[in-house]
This record gives sequence, structure tokens and C-alpha cells, in this order.
Amino acid sequence: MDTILEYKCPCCGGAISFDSASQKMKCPYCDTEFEVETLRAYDEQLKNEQPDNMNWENNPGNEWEQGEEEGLASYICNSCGGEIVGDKNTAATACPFCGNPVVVTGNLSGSLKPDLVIPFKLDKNAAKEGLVKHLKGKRLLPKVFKDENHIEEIKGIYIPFWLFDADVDAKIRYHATKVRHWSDSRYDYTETSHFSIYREGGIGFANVPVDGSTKAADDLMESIEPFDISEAVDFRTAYLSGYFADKYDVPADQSVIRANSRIKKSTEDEFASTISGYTTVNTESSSVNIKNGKTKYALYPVWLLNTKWKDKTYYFAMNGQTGKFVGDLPLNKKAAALWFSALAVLGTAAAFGITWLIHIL
Amino acid sequence: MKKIISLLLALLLTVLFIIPASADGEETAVLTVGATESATESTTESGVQDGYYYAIDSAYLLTDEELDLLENKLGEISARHNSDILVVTVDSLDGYTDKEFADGFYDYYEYAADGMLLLISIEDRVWYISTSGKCKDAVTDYGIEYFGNRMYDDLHSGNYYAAFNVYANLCDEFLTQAETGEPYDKSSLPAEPLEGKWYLISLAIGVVFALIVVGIMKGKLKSVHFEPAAANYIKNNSLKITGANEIFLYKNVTRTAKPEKSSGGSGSSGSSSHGGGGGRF
Repeated sequence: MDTILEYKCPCCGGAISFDSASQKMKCPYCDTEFEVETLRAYDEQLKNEQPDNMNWENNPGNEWEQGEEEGLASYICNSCGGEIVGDKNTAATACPFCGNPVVVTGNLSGSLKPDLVIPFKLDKNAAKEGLVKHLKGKRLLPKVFKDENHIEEIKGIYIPFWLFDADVDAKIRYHATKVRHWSDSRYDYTETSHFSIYREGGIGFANVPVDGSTKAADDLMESIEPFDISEAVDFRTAYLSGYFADKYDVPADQSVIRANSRIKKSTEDEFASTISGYTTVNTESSSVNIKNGKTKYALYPVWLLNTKWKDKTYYFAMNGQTGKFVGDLPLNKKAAALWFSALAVLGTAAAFGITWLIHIL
Repeated sequence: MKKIISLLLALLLTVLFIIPASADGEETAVLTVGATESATESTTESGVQDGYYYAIDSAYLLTDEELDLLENKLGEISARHNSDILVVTVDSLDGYTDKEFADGFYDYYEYAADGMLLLISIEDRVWYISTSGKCKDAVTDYGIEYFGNRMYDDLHSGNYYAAFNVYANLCDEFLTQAETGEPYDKSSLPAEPLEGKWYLISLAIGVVFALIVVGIMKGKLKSVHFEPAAANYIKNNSLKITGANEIFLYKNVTRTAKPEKSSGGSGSSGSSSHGGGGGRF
């Protein structure tokens, strides 16, 4: 009696039928042949897939204790909506995000007290040096830009971050290929073998940061990572003196989406690093479960500066703990064009010369 | 004009039919009675047909102007080097080998003791060069292979006039070199000129190089980007793989054919008085 089982073709996705009379599996759409065992094992793997399960306990931050709030003043910027908090003795005049004046609101209600803070390790002079170094050696930077930015206005500010800890269980399926080349006298051959690879296991993450402020651009904040959590201390208002802290305005459940995607990507990468001996490896499907998810609220030190040049605003940030300085710079189009032409001429001449030499020899 | 040529070649073939197929010793043209009469009718003292001595185009590959130009050019080169430099095109070898046809033609029409003949047979897609006298030393087997390589592209694409010009120029060059006492041979062949495509390739390389370097300089200006993973936050030694397998699915084999290029094969045998070699196109 003929038995007909239907499997999915790993190459094109069509339905393959098994015909017990011929003992072979062949896809009618793409003509690829398979062993029965292969398809059965692949089918098993596909059945094992589950959706992600990423749940977090969300109790970050504490309530302010009595008296702590009295030493703090809160300011709001009417141009860009930025809200910052500072020690009563440090008067704020300009908004660190847009440079316009701020006004005191005096109201700290509705905000949480941070769990942790990494105090500023680098002072304003270090920040200024960082900027100078950042602008050095960039051949396509317009010269005028270096002279025109108001370096004195660089500000130290604590940016609110949500920190996520998690233990992760994951089941990931990869598609890998091995490519082999050989030739005989009449043809060049290329053989591509396809594999389905499965990895299951666990990995732990600690203190994955996501910035909780809409005013601080997320990509700018991710660029100055990493922060070293070992230097973090329990929060005390005293750390705020001389600096400002941005008030968080992105709730933790929203920031968690970004943390989830970064954790998932890292899990896929780490599991993939256990696969070796293949020419290409790509993730096909992954299912990630989060256990023991914990959230914390922390303040991280950042030096900020913004500069306007030719009607565009450029933002710079320096990690107040490690000194890493980032910021996109404008392009001097004329210089770029000149360099391009000169290098193209040089390159063509060199290539031609080498070709000629090889030809003669 | 053209009638005479075809008549003549028909006669030539009749004549050659009688020559013994294996050439050992010197080739002699054996003439039957009938052939003699017709042969004397249409041959002039030293020429094959009226007006055309060096360029014989029975396969009609060239226009009248091209034929005239070629005839003049070959005539001039031949005069300067005291040899007979010919180009002969035919529709088919009619069963003869390329060597038999070329050597036979040259001898039958009693060309000079020193000379070279380029034979092109369209149906067989074969070229053959036959050398005699001092030209045997001026253009050796390696030389003939070199001629083949230089002419191949034009022959293959049907630019016969261009190919014949290449042949004529090369004959001139090789004979001039031979007259200095040091004919070109394996180790001293003139370098083939760089094909036009190399100029374009060099330009492309130059542009790509410039793009890469300017791209790197531009890249230095940009330092802000999202961080897609969380590699810095992995707890040390927390990676544990509890299950793994690798299943082979299927394989594909593709193949591409290697291009076949023809070149000359040398074919001179010691017993005949001609040197030569040929190839396909």
C-alpha cells in the first residue's frame, strides 16, 4: 500500500510527497532530492519552534524619602520640553539639549528615586580635551567648524537609564552552507551543501541599558556605551551637586522593547559562535525565553554639547566615566571631491603601470 | 574577374587531385593533358590571375577596395623583403589537409623561393601559414603560434580584413627582425600590445580605490550609531549549550564551461621543404 506523507521542502517551501514505490523524496517545484531521514529530522526541528516569551518583573526605582526632595529643584525648558533636576544650589540657566533658557518648576512629584548612579569620573576640562581630540585628524572636516563651536557650553548631566538583568533560555535554528570548488579540464564546479543547524541553551545578561529620556537621542546614548557598572553606587542626592539630572519620561515597559531586541540578537550571535566549519551561517528562526528578568533605574554621567553650523545642529556626547567621545561631523564637500579626483588619477596610473609590468614579464 | 578566379581554383583542385597524398620528397605538380591546356590558357607568366598576385580571395571575404588595398600592401612588403607574402582564402579544403593545400598552392603557382602564405578556409574554419626559404627561419613554429594568437580575435569575429592586415604587419616586422641577423624566436617574441579593455580596467580600479579611501575618510566623521546587540552585558561564562544538532539537507552542483581558445599547432615535418602551422577559429 502506498503511504503518502507530506513534508515541507527546505529549499523552496513546497509540499513534497513520499512515494514508497520509488523510495525517494523529490520536490516537484524545485527538483531537489532528499533522503527520507533528512526530511523527518527537519520536520521535527520545525515542530519544536515556539514564540518568544520575554516577561520582566517591573519594580524599578524607589520612592523618595522624606527630606530628600527638598534639596532639589526641577526645571523645564519651554522650547524643547526637556526637564532637568538639580541641586538647589546649582542654578540652571540653559537647557543642555537645545541651549535655550529654562525656568524653575519646583515640582518633583511623579518621579522615582534612582536605584543606582555612576558618579562623574571626568570633569569639564577632560570633556573639553575630549572634544578637541575628536575634531583632530579628520581630513574631510571643514576647517571653520573647528573654530566655531562654543566649547565652554559643554554640560555634565546625568541621563536616566533603565537597566535590565535576565537569564535567557533560547532555541535557535540556523541555515548554513558549505561551498566547495574544483575543476577539471573542461568545467569549473561549485558544490553548495545546505544544512539546518539547531542550538538550544541558556545565557545570562546583566545591566543592559536603555535610555529613559526622550530628549537624549537613543543612538547617541548607545554610541557612548559601555558603562562599567562596577563603579556604580547607591543613589544619594549629594552626587547631584554641580551637575544636573535629566528626568525620565519613557516608562520602563516601553524601554523594555529595545532591551528585548538587543538581548535576542546577542543570544543568536553567541549561539552562532558555537557553530564552526561552515561557509555561511544565518539565523532562520529563534525562540527566546526570559527568566528572572529584573529592572533597575540608574543615572549615568554624560557630557553633552550641541552646536549649530550652517543651519544644522550637531550633537556631541562624552561618556562621563570612560571618556568615549562621539558625535557626527559635517562633510566638506569640496575637499571630498578634490581628494576623490586626485586618488582616482593616482590609482588608475598605478593600476595601469602594474598591468603593463606584468604583461611585459 | 571573379569568374576567372573560380575557374582557376577549380582547375587547381583538379590538378592537386593527382598529386600523391603523402608528401615524401619534393612535391611535383603532375599535369594531365587536359589540365595543361587549361592551365596555360589562364595563367600569366608568374601570376595566378590577371592583376592579383598576392591576395587571392576566392571565398569573397573582402570587398573590392579591401582586396586592392591588401594586394598593394602585400606587394610592397614582398618587394622590400625579396619574398612572396600571400593571403589565400577558399571556401573549403575539399578533403585536403591544410598543409597539403597551402604548400601545394604555393608550389604549383611557382612563387619565389622565399615566402609565406596565409590560407583561410571558411567552411572548415581553419587558418594555416606555410613558410618557405628564409621565411622558415624568420617565422618559426613559435612565431606561427604568435601570429595565430594575434589574428584569432579578428578571425573569430569575422573581421577578415583586419586579420589580414595584422598578418601583413607581422610578416613585415618578423622579416625585418630576421634581416638583422636575430630572428624572433621563443624567448624573444615581441610583446603583444595591451588590449583596449585593460585601459578601462585600470580606470575602474583607480576609481574604486578612490571611492574606498574617500569612503573611509567620510566614515571617520560619523561615530553615532545604534548598538544592535548587547554583547558587553553578557554575564561571564554564562553561555551554556544544552542541545545541538546539525542536519544535512541537500546539495547543488553548478558548473561553468571553461572557454576554449584555439592557438596554432606546429605541423612542420622535416621531409617537406615548407615550414608551417595552423589552427582553428
